Amino acid sequence: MEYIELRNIVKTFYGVKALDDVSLSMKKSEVHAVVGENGAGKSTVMKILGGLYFADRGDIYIDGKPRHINNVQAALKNGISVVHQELHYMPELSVAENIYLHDLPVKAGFIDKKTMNKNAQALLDGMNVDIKATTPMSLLSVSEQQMVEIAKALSHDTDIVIMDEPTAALNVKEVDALYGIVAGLKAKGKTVIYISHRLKEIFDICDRVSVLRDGKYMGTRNIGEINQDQLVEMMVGREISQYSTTADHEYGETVLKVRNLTKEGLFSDISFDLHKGEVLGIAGLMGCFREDIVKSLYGLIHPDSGEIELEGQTVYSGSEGVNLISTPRKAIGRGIGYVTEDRKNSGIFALMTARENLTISIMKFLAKFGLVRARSEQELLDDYTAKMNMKYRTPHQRINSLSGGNQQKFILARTLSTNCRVLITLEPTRGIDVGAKSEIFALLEDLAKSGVAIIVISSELQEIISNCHRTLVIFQGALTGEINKEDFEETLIMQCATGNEVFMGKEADGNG
Amino acid sequence: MKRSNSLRKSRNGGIYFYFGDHAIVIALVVFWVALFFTNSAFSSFSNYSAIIKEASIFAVAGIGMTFAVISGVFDLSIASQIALSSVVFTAILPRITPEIPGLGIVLSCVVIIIMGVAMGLINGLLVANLRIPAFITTLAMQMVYRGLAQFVNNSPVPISSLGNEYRSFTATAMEDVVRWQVGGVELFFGRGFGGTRLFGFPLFFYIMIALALIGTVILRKTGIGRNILAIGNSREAAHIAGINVPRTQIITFVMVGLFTAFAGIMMTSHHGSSNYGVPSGTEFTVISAVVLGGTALAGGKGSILNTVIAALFIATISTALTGFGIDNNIHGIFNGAILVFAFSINTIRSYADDAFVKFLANRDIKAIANKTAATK
Repeated sequence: MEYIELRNIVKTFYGVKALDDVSLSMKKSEVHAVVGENGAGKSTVMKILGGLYFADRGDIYIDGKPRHINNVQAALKNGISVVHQELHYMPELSVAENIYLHDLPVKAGFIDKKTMNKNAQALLDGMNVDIKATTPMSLLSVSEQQMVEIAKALSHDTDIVIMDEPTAALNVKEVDALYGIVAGLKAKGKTVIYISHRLKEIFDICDRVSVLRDGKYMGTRNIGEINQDQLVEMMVGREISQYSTTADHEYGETVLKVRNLTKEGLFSDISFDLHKGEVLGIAGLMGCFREDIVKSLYGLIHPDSGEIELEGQTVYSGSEGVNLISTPRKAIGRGIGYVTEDRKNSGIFALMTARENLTISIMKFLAKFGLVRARSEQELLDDYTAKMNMKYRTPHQRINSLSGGNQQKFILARTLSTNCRVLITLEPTRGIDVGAKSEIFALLEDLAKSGVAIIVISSELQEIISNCHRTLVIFQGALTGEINKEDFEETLIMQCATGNEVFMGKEADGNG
Repeated sequence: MKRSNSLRKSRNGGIYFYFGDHAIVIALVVFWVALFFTNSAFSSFSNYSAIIKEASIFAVAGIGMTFAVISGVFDLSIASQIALSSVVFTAILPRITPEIPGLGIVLSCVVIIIMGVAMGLINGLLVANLRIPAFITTLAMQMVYRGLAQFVNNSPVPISSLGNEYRSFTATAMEDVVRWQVGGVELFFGRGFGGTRLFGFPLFFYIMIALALIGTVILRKTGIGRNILAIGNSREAAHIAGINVPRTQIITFVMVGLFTAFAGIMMTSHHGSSNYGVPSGTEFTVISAVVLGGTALAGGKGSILNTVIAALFIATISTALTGFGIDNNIHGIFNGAILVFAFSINTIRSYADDAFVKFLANRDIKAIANKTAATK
C-alpha cells in the first residue's frame, strides 16, 4: 500500500526539463532514500512536495487522496515538513524562538517564553543533542544550527519528514544522533524521505531507495536487495558520450605544482601536478569543497599552509609566508585565468555591452593616452568571434540579452585575452544548451593543444570522462582519487566521490 | 556615444529599442513643446536659455554624481563641497593679484579643482579603505565640509549682513573681476554673468556640454570609466576579472569631487558671491536628475548626457511652476513628487527591460527547440 504517490511530475526551468515525467511512491512508516548525481532532480522533487516549487504537470496523492500543494503552509497542512539543505535562521533570536517562529505560544497576548523554552528544550533533549534552547542562534556552530533546523521541522509533528542532505554539515557524533532521530520517527509510524550523497548512510538507515538520473525516474529497490556498486551504476547509467572531443594528445612538462595545500575547514593536504597542454578534471559531489581548492590558485581564497609552484617559481608558500597570487589581479599577472561557475553574478557585467565585457580585463593594453582604441577593441572582438563562433547582433548589445552559451564564450574569451597559461574553468557548461557545450569543450581542447594547462571542474561526470587526461576526485575536502584516462569509469569516480574506502587510494598517487 | 544609439537591429532584421534608456529625452521635448503652446512666458527663447543656465550647475554636478550612482553609491556631500569651494574661491581670489589680467581667476579655479579632487579622494579613501558604507561616509563628510566652509567664512552670519571688510572678500571682489573681458566676450565670473552669451546661448551651456562630453568619454572610452561601470554591475565579477575594486571606488569619488568643483565655480560666479549656505538638499536634486536620466539606482548602467537632459527637465518644472503662478513656498511638494517619480520610474523601467530580455531569451529557446526539432 503506497502512502505518498507522485504521479508523472514534470518541472521545467527556463526551458530545461529538471523533472521529466517522474513517478515516485513511498510506503507509510518507511525511511525512503532518493539518490542521484548533482542535478538529477532530487531537490526539485522534494521542493515540489514541500510546497516551494509547483509542478508544471503531474499529481500528488497522499493517503489515496489528491493534494494541491502550492506553498509551504499547504505542505504543512498536508502533513509534510522539510529539513532544507540551506540553513534559514534568525541569528539574533534564541534557539527556541527559531524553532517555534512559525507558531509562537501565546499567553494573554504576549509570547509565553516559559512554555516555548520548555517545549524547545524537550524537543532538543529528545533528539539527544546538547543544545540549550535559550542560546542565541548565532553562537551555535554550523552543525548545531543544522540540528536546530531539524528540530524546527520536527516541531511541526508532521507525518512526513523530508530531509534534504541533513548530514552535509554534521560531524560523526551528530550523524549518530540523526540516525537515532530517524529511527524514532519510524517507530512512531512516520515516513521519512532521506536525500544524501553519502551512500553509506543510505545503507545504514533506509528501507528502500529510489534513483533519479537527469530528471528521470530510474527505479526503486529494497535496500537489502542492492549493493553500493549496483546503486552507483543505477545513478550514473551507461550513456554514449554526447561529446565528440577526447583528450588524446600528449601533454608536456609540469606547469603547476601544488603540495599539501590546506585551508582549515575547507580542504586539507591537497597535492597534484598540472602539465602543459593537459586537461585535468576535478570531480566531486556538491559540498566537497573542490571549488575552494582552485579558488586558492586564483587569490580568491587564501590557504593556511602548503606550497604552490608555477612555472618553476614558488608563488605560494605557507611556511615562508610568500603569496604572489593573493588577488585575482596578481594571479592574472602570473598567467592564471579563471572562469567562474556563477556566470550571472560573478561572470558577466550584465548591463554592459558584449564588447565591453570582452575587453575589461585588458583595458590598459588597448588604451593609448588613456583612451581605448576602438579599432583595437573591435579587432579583438572580431578575432574571438571568428575563433569561438560567438553569436550576437551588434557589439553594442547588452551581454544579458545573449544566450547562456554565448555569454559563456565571452567570459572565456575575456579570460583568454589575458594570455593565461593556466586556465581554471568551473562548470564551463552550466546552463547552456547541448550544442554550445560541445563547442566549449572543443575550444578547451584546442587551447590545450596550443599549450595551455587547463583545470576543469564539472558536476557532469560524462564531461570529465570525455575531455580530461586525468581526474582528481575530492571527497569532503580531501583528495580521494587520481584517475588516468585509461581507467576512467563513472562508477570508479563516484565510489571515490562518495567516500567508499575500498576504492579510495587504489590509484597511484602520481606525485612523482 | 555610439552606445546611446537606441535603435538596434535584431537578428531577423526587425528593429527594437531600449525605451527606458531614453525616456527622458522624449519627456523633455514633449514638455517643452507643451509649455511653448500653453504658457505665453515660454514662447520666448530667453526663457529657455534661463532654464538652461539654471540647470547647468546641477547638470555639471550631476556628471560627477552619475559616476557615483553607476558604481553603485551616492555622494551626499556634494552640496557641502560646493559650499566649501565657493567660500574658498572668494577668499583667495582677491588675494591673488598677478600681473597678467585674468590669471588670478585661472589660478583660483585650479586651486578649487585641486581641492575638489582632494575632497573626493578623502571620501574615496574612507569608503574603500575603512569600508564604511558610502552613504554614511558622505553623510558625515557633508557635515565636515560644511563646517569647514563656515570656518573659512569665519562667521555663520549670512553674507548679506556682513560688514564691508568681509564683503571685500566676497561680493565686491567679484564685481572687480567681472570687468575682465576677452575679445569682447565677458568672462563668466561675477554678477554680470547673466548677460554673457555666445551665439545666443549662455556661456554655461557650452561649459555644461563640454564637461558632459568629457565625462562621457571618460565613462565609455577609458579604463577608469569601464572599471567604474564594471564594479557597478558586480563587484565580485570585477574582482575576478582583475579589476582593483578599492582603487576604482576611490577614483569614482575623485570624479565626483572633480565635477562638483566645476559646479562650485559655476555657482559662485552665477551668484557673484560666496555661498557657504548652498542649501543642503541640493545633492538630492542632483541625484534625482541622475536617476531620472536613466542611471540604474543599483548601479551598472547610465548615461551622462541623459543626466544633463534630466537636469534641464527638473529646471523646466521649477520654472514652469513659477510661470503658472504657483506659490514658491509649495514648490517643495513638486520637488518631492519628482524625486518619488524618478525613483519609481526606474523600477517600472527595469521591469520593462527584464520583460524584454526574457522575451528575447524565450524566443531564442523556442528557435533552438524548433531547430533541433527540424534536424530530427
